[in-house]
Amino acid sequence: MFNLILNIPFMLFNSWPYFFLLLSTFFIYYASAFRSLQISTLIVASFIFYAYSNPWLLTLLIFSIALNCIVSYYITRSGPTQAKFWAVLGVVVNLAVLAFFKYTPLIADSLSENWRHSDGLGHFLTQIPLPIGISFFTFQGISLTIDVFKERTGPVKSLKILSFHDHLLKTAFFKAFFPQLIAGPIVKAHDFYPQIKPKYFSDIRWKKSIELLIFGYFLKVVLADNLKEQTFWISYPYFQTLSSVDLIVMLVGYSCQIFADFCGYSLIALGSAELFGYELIRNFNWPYISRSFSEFWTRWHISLSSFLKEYLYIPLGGNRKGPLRTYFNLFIVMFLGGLWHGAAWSYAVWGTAHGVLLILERLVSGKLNQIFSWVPETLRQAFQISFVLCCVTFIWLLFRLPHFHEAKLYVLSIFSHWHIPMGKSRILLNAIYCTPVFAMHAYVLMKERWGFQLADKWKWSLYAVMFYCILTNSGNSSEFIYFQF
Amino acid sequence: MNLFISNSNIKYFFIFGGTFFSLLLLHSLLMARLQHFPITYQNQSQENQIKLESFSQRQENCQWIVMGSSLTALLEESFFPQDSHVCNMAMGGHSAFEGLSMLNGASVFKSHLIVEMNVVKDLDQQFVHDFKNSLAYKAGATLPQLLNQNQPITLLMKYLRGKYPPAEKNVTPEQFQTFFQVHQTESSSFSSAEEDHLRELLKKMREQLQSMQKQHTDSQDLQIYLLWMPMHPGLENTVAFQKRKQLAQEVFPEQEWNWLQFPEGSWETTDGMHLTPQSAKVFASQLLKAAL
Repeated sequence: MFNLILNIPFMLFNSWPYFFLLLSTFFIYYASAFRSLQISTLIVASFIFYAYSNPWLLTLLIFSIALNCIVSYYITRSGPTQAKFWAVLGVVVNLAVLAFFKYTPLIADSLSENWRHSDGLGHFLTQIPLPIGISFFTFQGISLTIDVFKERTGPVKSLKILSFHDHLLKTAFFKAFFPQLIAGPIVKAHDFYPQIKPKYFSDIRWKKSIELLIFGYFLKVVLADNLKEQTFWISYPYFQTLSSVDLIVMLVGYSCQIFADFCGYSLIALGSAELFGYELIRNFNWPYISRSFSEFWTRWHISLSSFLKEYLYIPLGGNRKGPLRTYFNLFIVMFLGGLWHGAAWSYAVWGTAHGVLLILERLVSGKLNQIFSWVPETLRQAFQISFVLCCVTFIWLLFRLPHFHEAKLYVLSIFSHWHIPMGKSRILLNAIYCTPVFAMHAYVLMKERWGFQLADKWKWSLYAVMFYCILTNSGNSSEFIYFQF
Repeated sequence: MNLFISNSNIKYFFIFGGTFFSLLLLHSLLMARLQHFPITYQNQSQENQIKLESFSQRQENCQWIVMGSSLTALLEESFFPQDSHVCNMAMGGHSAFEGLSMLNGASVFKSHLIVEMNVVKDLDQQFVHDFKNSLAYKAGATLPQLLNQNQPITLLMKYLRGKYPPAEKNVTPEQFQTFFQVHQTESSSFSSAEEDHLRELLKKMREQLQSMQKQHTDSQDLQIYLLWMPMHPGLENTVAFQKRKQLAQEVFPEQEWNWLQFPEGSWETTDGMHLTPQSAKVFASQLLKAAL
């Protein structure tokens, strides 16, 4: 709702305003006259980036920065009891703010219709807008609070807080750094803070940055944006007139689209950050070659799963308190992880489905490996990869059709529409844009399994092909799917 | 400074550049080879972009310009008589406002404007903004490889559809009913807020059309025709469409504006609103006669 006030969209990575912001910030950042103001330059650029469509959003971001700065500062300046108080306060307030903006409309919507539609509080609560990026920068705030608290008594001191002013600048920078502000990766304080120091033009890793940017833009503007047009027909009621083959192909297309969209965004964020001398956590490691669901979560949205593991799963006990407790912990983490994605019950179901699969995997994988030990390893791995891919692809349907009855209708249509003629163009176009995703996954699989490595000259040819496609075969520009989270 | 100043990096730079220019050459050859194949598109969004691009290039030759939504977008230019020089700017998912926004900057033309009134929506400023800021729009005249109609995958589809023309699909009764019911349900009510909003939009459209007429009175008269596309009676008689038609006629009274009486005939639709390809062909061939 906020962005409708000014009718200006958010600043997309593939937009002229972003290129202008990136270039101008880059030149100011490395100008020797502004070397001492590098962090401030990035903070200002980040504020411009975030407030581009709606300056009011800045108030929330500044509040979040101030909250986490004050809390983490006082953790280091207080005795043990007070430090714990500040840490708990920090985490609770962060979660409360997130819950208010993200989940109040969901809860209010679940209450009685009369209350929802009445003027006043009921209606207001169902209309609370979701500020963009809140899920990401809130989690980063929690990371800062907990890391500072842990380092009070731990041996490692990566978060040195020298003065309040210095800490305020670093906190503002950490939370607001524009490449990762709106859709991650979720950066942990103990990974990021040690990198904060003066940066020099001569230290830019140009090759890495260019590779990341070309690859990221290719995934986003060529693959994801074009696939979006083909998977549009998954929407209700359009899918009701399509053949079973179309429905299956589009689901696979959506699976490739969401990967290309999110991975593309993350790579652009990483490439942009590299230009300023900062290394962000890699967010994807070719998840569709996973042989198990637990492996999938070490390859998909790595920053989120790593955050949940470090700050939720392990504190709950992880797998150290027996199998039943382990299953419970897995369930809770995946349920909350699903709910993090969106304020709709379908996301909770999505997360729960993954939780159930992880639990079932722990229960049966050992036995299954024994039973099928006679099957050649390669065949077994092929089956495992296919099985995980099919399950993950199927569950993505809940992202695309958040209303349960529509998702159910879609699944039923897959089984009952075999008699309808296929849409050859739609299938062909889906196949064309999915092929690079699968080809890249296949390459990584060969690299990991057999050490196959493409020579640099071929890599640079491929980058040239990608760059050419970015210029000549881009889809219609659209927001990143994960902006809605 | 480590900006690629090394032998290996220079080598990769040449590999990158060499591949890039080879692709440019190949792309150009492909464009030349397929230039006589009918223009095609990958999806509705690209179809809209191609229409805008195409119009920018040939606006001076358009004698008839059709604007509206997906209802009139089905009237392909090839359905009209060959010497009529029809440019169809109607766009799926939009209404006449997007086409009008492109015309406002256009130079004077000897044209007849046909404006569909069934679907009138807010101007999608983002769509127009994105188009006018796209690389294709800014540099497409100089580098046609950047145009949407010349995208590599679009050229592939152009070749395949030219070589293996798709058979005309007939809508099954099931498919018809599915969408017809959805449209009927959606059109079963029309709130006063919607009515007020539509009235405002129609007034805005009237102002734009009147302003265009004033701009052209010194040179050539700009003939504007308003069109209410035929629909299935089951939809035509719903509350929403009745109200829309009434409001359109209220803001554009027949005494002051040319309302086209669409040609007589039974018009088949795929979903109650959109003409079937066969009906669209017949309708288009008779539409200009109705205007003249």
